[in-house]
Amino acid sequence: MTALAALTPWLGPALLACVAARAFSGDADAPVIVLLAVAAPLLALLRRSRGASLDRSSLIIAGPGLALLLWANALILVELARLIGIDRAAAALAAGALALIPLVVGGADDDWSGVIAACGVAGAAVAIALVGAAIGLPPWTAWTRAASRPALVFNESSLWVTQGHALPRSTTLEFTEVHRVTAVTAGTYRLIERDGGALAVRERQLNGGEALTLRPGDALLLQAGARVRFETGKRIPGPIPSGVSWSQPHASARPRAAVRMVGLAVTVIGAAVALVAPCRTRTLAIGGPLAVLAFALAGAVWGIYAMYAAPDLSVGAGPLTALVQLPPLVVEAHWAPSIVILIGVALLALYTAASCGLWHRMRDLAVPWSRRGVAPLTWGTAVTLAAAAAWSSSPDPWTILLLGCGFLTSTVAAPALASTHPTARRIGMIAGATIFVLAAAVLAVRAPALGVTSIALIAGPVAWLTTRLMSRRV
Amino acid sequence: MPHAHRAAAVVTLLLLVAGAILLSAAPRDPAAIRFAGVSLLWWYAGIAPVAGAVMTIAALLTSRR
Repeated sequence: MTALAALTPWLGPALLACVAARAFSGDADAPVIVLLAVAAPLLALLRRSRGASLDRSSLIIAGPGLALLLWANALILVELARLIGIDRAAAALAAGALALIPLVVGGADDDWSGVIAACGVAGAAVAIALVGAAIGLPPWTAWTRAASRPALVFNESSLWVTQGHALPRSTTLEFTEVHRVTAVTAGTYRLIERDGGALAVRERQLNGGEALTLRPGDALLLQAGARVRFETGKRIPGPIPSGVSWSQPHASARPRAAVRMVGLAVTVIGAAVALVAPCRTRTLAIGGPLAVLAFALAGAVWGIYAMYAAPDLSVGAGPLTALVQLPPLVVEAHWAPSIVILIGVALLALYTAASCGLWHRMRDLAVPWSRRGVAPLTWGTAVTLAAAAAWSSSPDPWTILLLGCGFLTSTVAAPALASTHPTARRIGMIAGATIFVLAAAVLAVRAPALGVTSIALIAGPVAWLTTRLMSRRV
Repeated sequence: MPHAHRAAAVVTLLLLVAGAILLSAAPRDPAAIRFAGVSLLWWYAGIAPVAGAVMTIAALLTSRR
């Protein structure tokens, strides 16, 4: 397997979209995420292969982690379909069908998946280069100018000002100054007014063209599909009031931020170790690292250009806002559709290649099952569940991606790094999976601020320690 | 020394990740210091992956199997 083919499970559309979305939203962790998106798979590529010592339980225990990653990638495809007006069910069905391609082409996909991933990365990189050329600034200058804005305001050419825009999902907008919001479509608008220390919730029935005035401290709850217009020159409602706060986000308390960051590193590096096979050939040794570098940097640059050129896209932003909605705003009208098609095709290519890569991992886990058909059956089940989940719900793909990464860290990477003994590994995997599920439940209820990344920080070391202890006893 | 280059690249990559975590969690916020208008952490996030990729390519090309 070439380095490029080994990296395909990593180069999924969910990671690209999440890197762009994190950079766009001014997430305090965004620069570390960019670095980890490159460093983690390279570490996995460089490690020494210790040989597979799997048993039948490996597939059952680690399978849900692969299904979670497939779900995160399918969510991006469903979101892409929504943005171009395709029905959610049809998109989920197409995502499932694409993920089944490796079952049809058999072993021929091993190295072709690397070529497809390279095409996807090249498409995303060329698209952002064209957007950059249209903007006329290198990314670092765009970052500097975006970061020096005293306030993010709606300009007169913004779609939110000229014709109004529909929100893709229910959103609560908080206002810091007096703002007159005009309803383009008739509907019920929920207003949360701050009167002294008390909050009052009022519902207003507005017809198209009617407006309501919000005062500083008020919030407006808009349902998905609600179409509204904002005022020119007024601050964009949302969590990012200025370029300064975008470039220097208020991180949480320092010890908590450090724990979250270490948890993120453990989660991402562990997942890379579980997903990316060590490279044992020099063939295309340059292509793999270059592809992963271009992939992560392209994602970050998408986010930076989006904040520079169209900060108003942050209102109700989804995971693909920066990638799909930016080109029509900055590129000449006759070129914009081509760039959107290019990024759409690139995301499809990355999804197909990532599905092939995830299938390879599942096939490897199924090796101890001597009966033919176990691996395809398990993959088919994972694809069905992922497509059904992407159709029925739309959680944040970043959360699902981190859950999948954390689960693989706890059930595959930690036991594999601890010992090669099959029995010890199996017990370590069971311990990792159990602690992961328990920690996820406890943290969700007791300490949600610690975030998803803290789960693998608890479950991973427990799995590693259990495997080490068991390898000495068996 | 068949694996020396790989080991060096692995250590470099781990140090680069550790550097980013220390920089962003350090007291007095050194990550926010700006050079040529861009914060130190974003410069780091742009340059460190390039260094890591170059090290990896060198290690993959020079090490035996």
